[in-house]
Amino acid sequence: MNEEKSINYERIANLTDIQKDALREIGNIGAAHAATALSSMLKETIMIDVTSSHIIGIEDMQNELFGDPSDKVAGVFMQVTGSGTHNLLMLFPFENTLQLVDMFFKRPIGTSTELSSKDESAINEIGNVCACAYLNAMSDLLGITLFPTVPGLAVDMLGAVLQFPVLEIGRRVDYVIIIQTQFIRNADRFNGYFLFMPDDDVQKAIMDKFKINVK
Amino acid sequence: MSKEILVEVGKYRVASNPTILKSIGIGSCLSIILYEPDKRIGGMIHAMLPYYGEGRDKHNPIKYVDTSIYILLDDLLRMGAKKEKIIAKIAGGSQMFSFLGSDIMNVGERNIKAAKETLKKEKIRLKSEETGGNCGRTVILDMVTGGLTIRKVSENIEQNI
Repeated sequence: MNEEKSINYERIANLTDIQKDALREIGNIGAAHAATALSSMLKETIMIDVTSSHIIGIEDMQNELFGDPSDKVAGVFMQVTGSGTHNLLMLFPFENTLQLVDMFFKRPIGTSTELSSKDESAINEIGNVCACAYLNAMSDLLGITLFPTVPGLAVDMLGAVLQFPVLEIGRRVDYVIIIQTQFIRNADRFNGYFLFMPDDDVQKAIMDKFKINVK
Repeated sequence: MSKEILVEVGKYRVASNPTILKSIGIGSCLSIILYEPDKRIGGMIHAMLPYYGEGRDKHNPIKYVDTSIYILLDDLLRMGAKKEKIIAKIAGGSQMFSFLGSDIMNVGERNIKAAKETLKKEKIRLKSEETGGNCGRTVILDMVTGGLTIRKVSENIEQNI
C-alpha cells in the first residue's frame, strides 16, 4: 500500500507549474459549463469559482478533502460510460447542501436544517446538471465520448460516502482529479467539490493533451 | 478514561483491557471484531474488500475480509486467547448509493458474506451483527465488556450490540 502511495505522490510532485495550470484549466472550463447549466435551471445568475484543482492518490481523498471522516456530507455519484468506464462524485458539506437547496427552492438561505425527500431530489438534480455540464466540457476538450448514467445520492458521514468510490474504483484507478469550487449567488458562497475518477483511457487522453509524462 | 485507539481503513489493532478501539465512518467497508471475554483481549479490523485472492494490491492482506480475520485470530491466539471462547461481531457492509442494479455496487454485501464464510470455517461464533442498509456507521469496542457501540448519522441514534 505504501508503495502505491509513493507512486502517486511522485506523480503529483513531478507536475510542472504549466501542467498544474492545465489541470486547473480543465476545472475552470468544466465549472463554467456547470454554472451556465445551473443558472438556466434556476433562472438566475449562478457563478462557479474554481478555488483549487489538483490530482491526488485515491486513498488520500478523505484526508485531503476535509480531514474528519465523521463530517456529514452529501454526495452525488454517477458512473460515466463511453470511452471506458469512469466515475464522478460531487460532494457538498452538509451545511452547504442545505444552503444550495434553499437557493434551489428560492427560500431565504438558512431556512433548512434537515433535508426533506424533495430537497434530496433537488440536490441530486443540482449534482446531475453540474456533472453533465462538466462531462460535456471534458469530452469537447479531450475529443472523447462520455455518457453520464443515472446519479445516486448519499447523505452521510464523509468516510462512509467516500468508501464506495475508493473501494470499487480503486481497483482500476490510482488517482482522482479534485476540483474545489464555490457556488456564488450575489454575496452567498457555497463550497462544492467535483471528484473525477477517470480510468486509463481518459487518464491517458488528459496526460497527452497537456503533455504530462506519467512515470 | 480508557485509552482510545483509532482503527483506520485497511488497518487492524489488537488491544487488551482497558482500551477502546474505534473506527469512524464505515460505509461499504466491514468492521470485524474478535473478542475473548475471559482474557479481555480483542481486536478490530477495518477491512475494505472481500477476498485477498481477488485483490489487486497484495501488499496489505488487512485490506481484505478473509485474510484479515486469519491474521487477527492468529494474534489473539498468540496472546493466550482460547479459540473456543472467542466471539465475533461485525458491522458495516452498507450500500451507500442506491441506484442501478449493477453487481459492482454490492461490495458491502460481499464483504458480509466473506466474513460469515471465514468465521464459519474457523468455527468462531458470530455473536451479533449490525450490517447492510444504506447508512454509514461509527463503531466503538470497549475492551472491558466486549460491548460494541454503533453510531449512525442518518438516524442520530446509538445502539449496543
